[in-house]
Amino acid sequence: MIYVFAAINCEIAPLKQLESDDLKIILTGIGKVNAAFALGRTFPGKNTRSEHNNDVIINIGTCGASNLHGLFLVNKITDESTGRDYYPDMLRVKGFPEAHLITVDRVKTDPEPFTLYDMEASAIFMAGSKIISPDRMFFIKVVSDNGNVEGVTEEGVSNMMNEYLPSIKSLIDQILAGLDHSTASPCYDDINQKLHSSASMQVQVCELMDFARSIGIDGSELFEQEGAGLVSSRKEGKEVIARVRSRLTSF
Amino acid sequence: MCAADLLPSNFSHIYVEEDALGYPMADEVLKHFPGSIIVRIKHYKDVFNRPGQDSAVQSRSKNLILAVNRGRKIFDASPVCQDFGYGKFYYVQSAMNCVFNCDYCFLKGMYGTSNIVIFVNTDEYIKECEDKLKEGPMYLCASYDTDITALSSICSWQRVWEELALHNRDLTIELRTKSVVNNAVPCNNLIYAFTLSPGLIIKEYEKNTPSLEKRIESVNKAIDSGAKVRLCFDPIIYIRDYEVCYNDFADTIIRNIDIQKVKDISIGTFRISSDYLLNLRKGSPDSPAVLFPFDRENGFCVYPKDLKDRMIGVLKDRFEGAGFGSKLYIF
Repeated sequence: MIYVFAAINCEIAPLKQLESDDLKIILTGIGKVNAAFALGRTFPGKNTRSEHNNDVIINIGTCGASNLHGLFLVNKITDESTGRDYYPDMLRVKGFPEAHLITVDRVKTDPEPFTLYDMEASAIFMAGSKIISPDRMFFIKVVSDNGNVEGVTEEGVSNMMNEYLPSIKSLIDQILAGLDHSTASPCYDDINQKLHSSASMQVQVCELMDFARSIGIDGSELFEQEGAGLVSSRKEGKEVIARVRSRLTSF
Repeated sequence: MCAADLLPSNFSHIYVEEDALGYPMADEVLKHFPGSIIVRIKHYKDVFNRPGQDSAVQSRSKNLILAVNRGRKIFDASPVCQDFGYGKFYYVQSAMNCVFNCDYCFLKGMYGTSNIVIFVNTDEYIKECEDKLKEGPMYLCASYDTDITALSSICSWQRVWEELALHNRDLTIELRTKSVVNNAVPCNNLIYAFTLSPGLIIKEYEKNTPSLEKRIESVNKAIDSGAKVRLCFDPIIYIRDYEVCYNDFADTIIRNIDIQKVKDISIGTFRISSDYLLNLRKGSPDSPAVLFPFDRENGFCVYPKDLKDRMIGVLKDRFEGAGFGSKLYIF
């Protein structure tokens, strides 16, 4: 699933047409606390990394910059208040201009040259990196102002996002095309049940089945041949594992 | 279009520590990559040590980090390494990670990333080495957490260590590589250690590395130049028909290399820390080389003893039979 996070309604409105079963758009609200909260709300529960192997986080929004114009992919995020830097991996997308982004707590009226400024990205990276690898986090920013936000209107932001929608779409297409979908390891419940497996035996079964798969052998059949179906105790189960191990290590 | 087509080539981005800018080696590396995007960083660990990196994805498009090593540079070598009879046995960390992509490489298990760090403060390395030499002769692996020879087309670390060996007879330097050595330097205390594997193993498990033919050619050039050469048949990897495979391999080596001119040969089967193996399996979930159901011994994963002995025996017998027994190191 691709999760697109944006801070304000007028940034989100043009993106709505991208929404699908595989792409969800989430409104965060402005600022780091709101952004981090939105991530927490989006990924409730246990949240191990393996649960999110196929997920992607994209932060899309407008930003300030003194002498940059257009759409940028962010290769470095600095949190201005902590001074800490964060680096998304720039692996899956090419052909877009890149820039350094500083996340600030209030609008930056005197931006450094060649630097983007927003108010959410560092929090999204920090919260996202608890569960998503850095090659699956993308920060796409469109320059809307030079630090003076007086002339920036909701309609203007919407129009700007609309203008860059084809680029955003192309970027998301690249991300989608570059994704490898990993599948969770099977747990071989059937064999383990037959062998009366303890936790450590389950680990051994998994190891043997994975190795068998890698050398093109049907591991389940091998366990059956070694009497998995006839096991009546854990001790006998261990003996089956030992026999399968012996066969697999002398194939 | 497949995923691999969309991944840019290696070193599309070079992360450079602000402190590293201006070092001659940093300039030397950067001039090789005029098209790369330079990202300035404060500390290499901010990129190299990020949590939760997907090293398998990164391995398809590795990036480079240039850094200053502010800490210790020379370390005691691991007990699973052969010390070749040298008491003071160290390794130096002039770079971390490798351009190659071997399924079984311990670096993949040790580091949570495929990105490569090159340290650029060469003078401080030389000083630490010379200071340590005051304690007595030492043996230093200069290509331990990396393949420094494979990086020699973009940085001069190999030359740094060659020069240091030439000027310090008490310092024996080993340059271990799967790459091709250009212009090996003849010097009694400088050892070029070539890791050689059967063609089948190279094809299956040592991705992006030079072929066996090219490695043999490089070995012969080094021998002809008068350089000290070690052959490393390590790690031996278990495969179906390993006896045939490694016997054919021994034939090829004996037929194509004048082994009497080789300093010594090391033979060892694959072994790795249990913790590292977990990471290797995540990175290579389909590779029999790392999925093998190893025995656990003192925190290390090893082949079952009888299998290990048989695997080593194949090469040991062949090279003993070729009159090389006294110069074989078995691990």
